[in-house]
Amino acid sequence: MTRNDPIKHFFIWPALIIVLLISIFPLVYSLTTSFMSMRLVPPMPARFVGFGNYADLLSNPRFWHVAGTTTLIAFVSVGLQYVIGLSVALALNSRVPGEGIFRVGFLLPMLVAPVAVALVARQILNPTMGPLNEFMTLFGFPNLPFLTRTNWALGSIIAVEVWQWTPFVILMLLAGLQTLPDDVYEAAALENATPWQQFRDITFPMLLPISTAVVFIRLIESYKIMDTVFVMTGGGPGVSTETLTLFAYQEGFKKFNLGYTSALSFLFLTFITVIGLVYLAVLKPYLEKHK
Amino acid sequence: MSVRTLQGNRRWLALGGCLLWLAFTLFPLYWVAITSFKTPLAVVGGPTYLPFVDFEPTLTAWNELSPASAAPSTTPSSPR
Repeated sequence: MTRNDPIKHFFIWPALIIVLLISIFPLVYSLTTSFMSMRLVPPMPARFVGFGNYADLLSNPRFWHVAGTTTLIAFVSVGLQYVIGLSVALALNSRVPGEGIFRVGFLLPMLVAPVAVALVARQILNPTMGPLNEFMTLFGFPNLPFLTRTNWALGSIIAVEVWQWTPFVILMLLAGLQTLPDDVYEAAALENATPWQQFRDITFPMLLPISTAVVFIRLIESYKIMDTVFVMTGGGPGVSTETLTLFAYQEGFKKFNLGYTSALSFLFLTFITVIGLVYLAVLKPYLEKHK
Repeated sequence: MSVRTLQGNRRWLALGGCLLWLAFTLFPLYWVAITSFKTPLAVVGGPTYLPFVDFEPTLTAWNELSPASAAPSTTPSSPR
């Protein structure tokens, strides 16, 4: 078969058509919707409003509040996931006794559906029938408002995120640690490097590429948090724990304000893209230094 | 012996940390498991932890799920 054989069209078009239909068309369609005022309830003919939806959103304090909440949840939970995940991966990699049991036990949360996790969290954090409040009363605390006070609710959501997604970080970092070559450690031991020096100058820099990738994946996934918040607090109390996806859901599927929601989705997309690009740009010099 | 194996105190520190994290990881799963053996009344009646000690375990929930008992035990869903 030569380069100009017409049969190449037969092979390329089915895949291209599927991609066009399933991902490119909806993307372009929602982009056009975002420049229109389109409501389903009450049904109104679509009207072109240019950047009106975007201007509305950017001047809406609720949008900025929601973006701030999402950023807070994403950064704090990913930070905790990374610190805990790295510590646990290091411990597992240094052949802690009972390593096999730990390995299996640590991976279990990742296998549970997020909605189920959120429901269980609601049971555990329940003020009357939950075990956590009873445990806290042992130390003399009153009943704690885990899901009904803003700061506590944010903390609970972050704790659930950490519980569920640290296993992923452990898995990736452990895989990364096991690919590190042994000879550099032998050389370091020969030079009498302390364990802390070995970690700071060998393990961490050599693990940096995979750490970057893991944190990047987790950060983007955390920005898309929906199910945990939806089940645990529903954005409440008030709208204080509402995230970007939940806001989009409210606007799109409760108020059927489709133009506004499309604009919100595209702002959200730009937001995440900017954060991702800044993150990669900040880490680039370090990644290239240790190449 | 690998060079990266921990020695002495650090080893026990790592073990302690792992045990702590294991407790945090497994507690919710344990909670789900024991809740499946409680009666609805025992579920809402405050936290209990150990089967046979704190509460009397029951297989009601599991029986309701099993296909063998599903047909006769539940309330009739269709009028006959």
